[in-house]
Amino acid sequence: MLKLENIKKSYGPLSVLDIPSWEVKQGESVALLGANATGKTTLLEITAGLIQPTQGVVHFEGKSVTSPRTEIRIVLQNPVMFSTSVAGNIAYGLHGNGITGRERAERIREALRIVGLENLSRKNALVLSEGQKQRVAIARTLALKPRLLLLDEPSASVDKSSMQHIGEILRRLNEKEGLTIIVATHDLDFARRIAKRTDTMRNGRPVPYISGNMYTGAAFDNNGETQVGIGADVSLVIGGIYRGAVDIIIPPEHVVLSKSPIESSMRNRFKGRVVRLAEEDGRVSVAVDIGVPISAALTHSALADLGITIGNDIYVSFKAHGVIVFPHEEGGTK
Amino acid sequence: MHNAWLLLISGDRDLWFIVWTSLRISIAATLIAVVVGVPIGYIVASASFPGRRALISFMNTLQSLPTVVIGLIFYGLLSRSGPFGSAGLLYTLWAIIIGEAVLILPIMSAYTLAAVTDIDPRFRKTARSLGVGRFRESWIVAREARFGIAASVIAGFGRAIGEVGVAMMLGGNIAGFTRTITTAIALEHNKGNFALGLALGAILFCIALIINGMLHLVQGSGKR
Repeated sequence: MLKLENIKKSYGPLSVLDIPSWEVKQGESVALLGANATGKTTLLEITAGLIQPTQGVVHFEGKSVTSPRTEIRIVLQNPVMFSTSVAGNIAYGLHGNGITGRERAERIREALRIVGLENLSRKNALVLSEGQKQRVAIARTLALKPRLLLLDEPSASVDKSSMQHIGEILRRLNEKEGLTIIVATHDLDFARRIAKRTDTMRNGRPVPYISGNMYTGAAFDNNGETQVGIGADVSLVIGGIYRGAVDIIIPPEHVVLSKSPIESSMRNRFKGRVVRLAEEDGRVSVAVDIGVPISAALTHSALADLGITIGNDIYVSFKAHGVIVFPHEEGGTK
Repeated sequence: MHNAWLLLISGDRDLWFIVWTSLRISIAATLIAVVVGVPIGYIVASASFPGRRALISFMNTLQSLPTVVIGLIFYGLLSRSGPFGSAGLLYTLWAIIIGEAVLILPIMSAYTLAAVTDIDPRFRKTARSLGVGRFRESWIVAREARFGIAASVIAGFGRAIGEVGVAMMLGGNIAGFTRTITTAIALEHNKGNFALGLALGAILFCIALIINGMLHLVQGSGKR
C-alpha cells in the first residue's frame, strides 16, 4: 500500500532521514517508536505530502505522493482547534474538500460517534480538555475518510484515561474498519497497545523492533552516572541524564556476548546463563538470564564461533549510549 | 462650560452636522483603508520574498508620518496645478477621505501584519493537512486572526476621526461642507468661541472612549 524508496531528508548539514526502503501493507497498524528528534514527525509529514523529501519517492498504491491527498491524512502533534464548535472544526476540512449539505452533516455525526464525542458537537472546541481535542482532531481527519491514517504522538500531553480511550479508538478503527494506521510515539506502552507491528527509528530509518530487551525502571544518579534499576539486583548505566520512571530498550544487536569477561569501554557488564536459543529474522536470538532476561542477536557464524548452548555461563556487555530511553514524563531529561 | 453643555443638549444643528461630517469621512476612509491595508498586511505576514523585512520597516515608518506631511503631499497632487487637479477634489469631502485613508492604511496594515504573524503556524499546517485549498487556508488563518484585524480597523478609525492636519489642508474647513470636529475645534479656539470647541471636544472624547472600549472588548475576546 505504502512504499518509501531511497528517502533522504536533510535540513542543511543535518541529516534527519535516510530510508533505503520501507513498506506498510494494507490493513496494518504500525507504531513508529522513537525518542524526540529521531525523525518520526518528518517521516509522517513526508508520507502525508506536507513536506518534500530531499531525495527519494513515496509511493501510495503505485502513485507517487508529492502533496496532501485524500487517501492519506495526518493528525498532527499537539493539534490546534479552530475557534469554532467541535462540529465546525470537522466541517472545515469537509467544506475545503467540497463536501457540503447532508453528506457533510452525516460525516460529522459519524466521525464524532467513532471518537465518542457526539454530545459535544456544539461545544466550543477551544474549551475542551487536551484528550478531547486530540479526539476531535482524529474525528476531523476521519471525516475525510482516509485509507491511510497517520498520527503524530497522539498520546503526548493527554492524561492516562484519554490515552487509553484514544488507543481503543485506533485499535477499533484498524481491526473493525480495516483502516491502515501509522502512529509515531515515544510511548512504548501505547505502541504495544495499538499496533500489531512496531518499528523503531534508528539512525534516521525505521527498523523492525525485535521483541525483548524492553524494560521499565526508575532512573537515578549514581556518582554522576545515570543508572536505571530494572530488577532486584540489576542496574544499567545509560547515556544522558534522566530521573524518574523510564522505559528502555537495549537493541539486541548491540548486546555483546563473550565466554570470559572482556576489558572494554562498555559500561554495562553482567554475568548470566543462556536460557534460550531461537531463530528470529534470519538471526539467532540468544536469551541470557542476568537477573532479568536479556536477548542478544547473533549471526549463525558468530554463534558457531562462540560455541554456546543452553545452560552455559556467559558474559553480557553493552554500551550505555546503546540503550534507548523513553522517559515517562515529557522533559524527563534534565 | 455651561454654554458647551447647553449646546450639547439643545441639539444644535451646526454642531451635530459637524459630528456627522466627521463620522462620514472617517467611516469612508476606514472602509477604503480596510480594502487595501488589511490585504497588504495579510500578504506581507504570510509571504516570504526578498526585501520583506525592509518593507515591514517602511510600513512601520509610515505609521509615524505626520498628518501635515500627507496633507501637503495630497494638496500638491490635488491642487489645480497638480497632476490630479482636473478632478476638482481639493476642498471636498473626498479629498479628506483619500488623505485620511492613506494616513491610516499603514496602521491597519501593521496591525494586521502583527495579528496574522502571531497566529500559530499549526493552523496553516492543519488546514493543509485537511486538504483545503490556498484560498480556504487563507480564510481560515484570517478568521483566527479576526480579533487582531478588527482591532486594526478600530485603531484606524480612531486615528482618522481624531486627526486635524489632513482635514484642514485638503478640506479647507468649509462651514456646512468640509468642517470636521477637529478642524472646527481649531477654528473655534482661534475665534475664542470655547463653548462650541468644548462641546465638540466632549463628543470627540466620547467617541474616543467608545472606540477604546470596543478595542478593549475585541482584544479581550481574542485572548479568551
